[in-house]
Amino acid sequence: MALIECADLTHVYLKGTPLETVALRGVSLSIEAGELVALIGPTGSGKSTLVQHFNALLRPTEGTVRVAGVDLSDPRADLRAVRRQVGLVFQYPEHQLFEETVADDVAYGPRNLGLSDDEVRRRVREALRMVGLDVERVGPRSPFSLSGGEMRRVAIAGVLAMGPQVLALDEPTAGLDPLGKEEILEQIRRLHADHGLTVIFISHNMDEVARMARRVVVLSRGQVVMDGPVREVFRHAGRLSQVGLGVPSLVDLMQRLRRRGLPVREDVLTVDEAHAAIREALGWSSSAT
Amino acid sequence: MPPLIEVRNLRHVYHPGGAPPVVALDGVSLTIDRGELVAIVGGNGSGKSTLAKHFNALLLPTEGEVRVDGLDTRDRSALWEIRRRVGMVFQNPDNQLVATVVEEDVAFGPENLGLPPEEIAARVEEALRIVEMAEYRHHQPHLLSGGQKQRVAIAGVLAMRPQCLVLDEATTMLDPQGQREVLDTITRLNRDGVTVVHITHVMEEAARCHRVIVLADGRVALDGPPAEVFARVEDLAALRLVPPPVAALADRLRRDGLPLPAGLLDADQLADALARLEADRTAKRWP
Repeated sequence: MALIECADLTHVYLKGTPLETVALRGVSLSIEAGELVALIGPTGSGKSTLVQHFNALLRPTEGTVRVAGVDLSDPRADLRAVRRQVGLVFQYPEHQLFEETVADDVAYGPRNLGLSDDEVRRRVREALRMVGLDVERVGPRSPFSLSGGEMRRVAIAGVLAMGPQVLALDEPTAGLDPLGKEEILEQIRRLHADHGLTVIFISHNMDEVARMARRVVVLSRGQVVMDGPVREVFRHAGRLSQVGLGVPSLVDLMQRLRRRGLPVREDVLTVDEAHAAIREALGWSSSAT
Repeated sequence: MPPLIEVRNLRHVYHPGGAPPVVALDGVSLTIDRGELVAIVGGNGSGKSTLAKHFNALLLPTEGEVRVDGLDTRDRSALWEIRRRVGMVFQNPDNQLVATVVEEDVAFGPENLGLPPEEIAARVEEALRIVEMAEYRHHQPHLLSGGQKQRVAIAGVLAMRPQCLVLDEATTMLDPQGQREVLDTITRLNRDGVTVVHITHVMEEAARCHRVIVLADGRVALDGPPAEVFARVEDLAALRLVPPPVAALADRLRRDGLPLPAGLLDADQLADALARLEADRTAKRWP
């Protein structure tokens, strides 16, 4: 059984008004527990609308969404349980920080679950630790005194403190400086690898998708137009460019080298792989060093 | 003729209510000449946006001075002259559009200049043509894509006929297509003589400019052509910047001993350099 399963999911905003907009049309998609999936597509392709169905913030106009087998449209479905299971991190989540201290901000969710003070404290400590922050150091500080990257990690900790199995992040690196991006990506990688979270993230940056994701789902005009392993998806530069997307810069480099007659492999994801591919294809072995 | 923008010993201190003061700029001096295409990069909190807001007197110096075409930004009577010379485009396209129809939005600035209607119409026409949005003149801005909205925002600034366009992370919230549209637009504008200052976190975008200024802790840390600035890979990390993957790869190949030139920044440049090396090698000029 898939952890998240959308079947023929259609979502229409403002249905029956002159502003009616079809955001998703007939999306079918399964995500298994433990996956690390990137969701890409141009602005307006339906990415954010789709992830907001994963915890019933939005309801299907047609079709179904199931989380761990539970049909979210079923009136008997326990949506509070689903929202604990599937944590959603919105764009610029640090704009939603509001408490006077970091510890209080992260504690807000667990307190609303009616947990004991001890349990809340334990969860705050653990959630901050999961994003690489120390409760002793940052807990008493105002969230607004932190750097942009740290504020965003605090916001993610607030979602983690609810103990989700799935973390869905809407453009988690948007607006951060290059080092802040690296920090967030590293934390997300750890949440997946060390803590076993299923991670779905939206991104406009093909370089970070190449480094992070195992699987890439491409949306265009509310439909899934490609879905597969990351190397496979980035092989199709032409199709991606048709929907207004590109390939990672290293894949672009490899394609340019091939057009100039150098027989390198194209499906590289990291600087290490590109480095090895160039040396291998051009026969620059250790003699060149 | 005075330089277009001249910043001397600029300090800017924010005094948030109750909180301790924050020194955002700490002794910045620089000159931007007419016709330049300049990128300003730097980590979050390095002072980029604060500096940009001094370029058209949205902020005034705590100490030091900023002159635009010779006009001191502290001179209140020069305010409108300064803002006519330097136009700003901000990060969020949804916060900058004021009208319900594209052409009315672009006309907003020139209308406030009190220009005659024919002149306004001509400027709107021209500005929309430059950003390649003329066919959308009767559209509603909120139904456009992010890149299209930013181009309309740029047109609104162009209709004021500024000498300089300052973009404060104007590509940050856009998808790759939108980013390309905005970047192509500003490159074209610059070729036509408009001075452009582009603030960005994306090193590849900075690499397309002619000059890169790196800010760190409210000071100018590096200032030079992109090839020079990005060749200093070790310095960049200390400044919270990360070289683009292609530059990191070029650096790695160079350290392997490949005679690649310094400052290769994009896929096209590196592919060219590698193809040349390979041609040399097969011609036995290189082992």
